[in-house]
Amino acid sequence: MPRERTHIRYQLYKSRARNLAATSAAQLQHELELAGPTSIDLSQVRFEAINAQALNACERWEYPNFSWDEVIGWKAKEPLSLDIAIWFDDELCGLCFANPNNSRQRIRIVRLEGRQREALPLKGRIATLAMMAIDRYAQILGSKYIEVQEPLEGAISIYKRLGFAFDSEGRLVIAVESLAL
Amino acid sequence: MRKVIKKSPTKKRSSETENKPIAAELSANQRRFLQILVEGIEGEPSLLAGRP
Repeated sequence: MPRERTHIRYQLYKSRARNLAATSAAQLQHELELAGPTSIDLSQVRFEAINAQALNACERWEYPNFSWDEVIGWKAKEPLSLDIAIWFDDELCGLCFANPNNSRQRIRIVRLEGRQREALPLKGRIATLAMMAIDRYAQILGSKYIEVQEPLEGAISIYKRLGFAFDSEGRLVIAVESLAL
Repeated sequence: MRKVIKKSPTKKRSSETENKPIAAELSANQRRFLQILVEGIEGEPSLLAGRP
């Protein structure tokens, strides 16, 4: 287990990644509004950790695919893992858990799920929002690739649209561009 | 001999820098994500990664 100071540093990395993603979404909303009337509303998007509040909200989901309580244990075992709860105001819209390998060169998206509800405020935007935070985290850690660990057949086209491609070993990956933060 | 005190140059704030669009500071991936965020993804499934 990492020392407490190291653990706090990791928490700061994750918090910074979530905050950068939130800032990008807010700035995009601002630019859209400057350009004219828009039907898109990202004004209340929040990126948080998967905490007790997120787990409580998840219990109200109509058709959850996972038991997200397990993530609390994973977070304790994997201090560098990134957990993301995507909120719109007080509605939990998506959950994600991603974990870097030992060398930090590759971050794997282990789980990603959006709420199944027809009138979901962020419908069609969960994968993109999650990627915004994961990509920022990958930059902070100096990772080279983000990989979808178990891509589902129906989701592969979405990842491809986001820039993912299968590498020579059949892994669905996207290269992370290093950038001075 | 008089001692010469060097003043640090005054930093000029550039309104051009402050007002530049966020896209200029983003990587190509992040610019793509923002574009897709605007468009949305029709038919995005709820389950996107992991095996239940």
